[in-house]
Amino acid sequence: MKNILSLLLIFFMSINTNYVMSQTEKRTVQPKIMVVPRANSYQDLSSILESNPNVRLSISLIKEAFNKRGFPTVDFMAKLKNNQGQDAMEAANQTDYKQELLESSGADIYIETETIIDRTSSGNNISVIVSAFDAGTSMSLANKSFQSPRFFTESFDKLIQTAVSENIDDFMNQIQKSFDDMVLNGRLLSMSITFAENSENNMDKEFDNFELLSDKIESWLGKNAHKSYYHIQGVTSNKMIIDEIRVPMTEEDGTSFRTAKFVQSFRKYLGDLGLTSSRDLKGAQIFITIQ
Amino acid sequence: MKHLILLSILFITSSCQRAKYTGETVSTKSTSSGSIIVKSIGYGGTISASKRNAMENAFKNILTKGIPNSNQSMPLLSGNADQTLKQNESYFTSFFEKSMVEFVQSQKASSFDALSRSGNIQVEYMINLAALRTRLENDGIIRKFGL
Repeated sequence: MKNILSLLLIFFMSINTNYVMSQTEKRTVQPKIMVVPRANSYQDLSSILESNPNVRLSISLIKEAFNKRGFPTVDFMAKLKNNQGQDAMEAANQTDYKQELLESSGADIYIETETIIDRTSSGNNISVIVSAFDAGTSMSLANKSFQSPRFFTESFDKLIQTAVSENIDDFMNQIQKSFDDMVLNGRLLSMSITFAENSENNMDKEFDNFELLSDKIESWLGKNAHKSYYHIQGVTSNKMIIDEIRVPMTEEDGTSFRTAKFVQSFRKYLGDLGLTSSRDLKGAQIFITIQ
Repeated sequence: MKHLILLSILFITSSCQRAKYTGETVSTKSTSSGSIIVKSIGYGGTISASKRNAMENAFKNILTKGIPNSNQSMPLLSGNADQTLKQNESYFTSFFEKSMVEFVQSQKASSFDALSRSGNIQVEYMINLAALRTRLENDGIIRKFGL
């Protein structure tokens, strides 16, 4: 009897383990999303929101649509209220302030929203223009213009509701397509390599076989970037900017990919070349300074 | 007389279309998030066969092609949609036979024309896109929204 019970127990435990494993294999990471108003460098974010109820409504409806799909969102208006004051005063301009707000919010993706009203003799309509960006790299993930039908009305709230409701699914599909691409081809990082002010090294430092430091770095990138995908924006003797490096979403053991580990590996390589370095990480941006 | 009847039967039989896959699915009305209204053409020798073909065509086009000017302009199946369809052949065979009808919220058919070469029937379907997406996500056919 005991044996039968133990066997049953093992059987049920194995079923449970398999279930957990299959759940783990198919899990998706849900990045945090923040919907923000589109603003120029000279425009004050809070005054855009206060003066334009259409933008407020658009933000709210887009946020609601993401929440309905079970996606976590960061409330921009609440965040703005929390951060107002000191941070806004310290930031050089509104673009800096928005960037700071994004960084402090922990959002992985932000969606810029603006509304344009068109009044004609054949009726009025409103366009809600939305663009989704990866917060770390500012890479564009999706763009769409939600057009409302044209009516003889001044109730722009109704037009916005129609425009968002009729188009939001397609916009989300575009974002999902970018996510699928990231899972398949890796996500993007950028790296800037510079030299300390009094450094005796530069990118033209020569190694064996006439190989320059920049060539060495490029070889390392070729071996360590996901599917060898990287793009060098430019190289000078004292700077190298790699605007795109693809890295996998997960490590070989299934754990999430850590940028810090990637940087550690790169710094170890520089160490093997006899170079000491320091690093700064800002989202998906890596800053390396060689001594 | 006998020959005439035989010839007529032969003519009618040869005129009847067989069920086939075509891209003749168009978006007819804008809908709010979560549903889609499409008009699809169906081929077949009988009303039920051509209706079934129209429904299958509507779902196949939503899954693999997307419907321009609609809430679902991209294929619902991500990546290489046709490949996903082939890779999950038994799942979709069962889906088209039994499950697809569960996602049809309403349907309105035109009159059946057995002799028409440009489709025997036109059917307008309202499809519950949100429920369809959730089913495909839960069955592991498409990835859930996210990374």
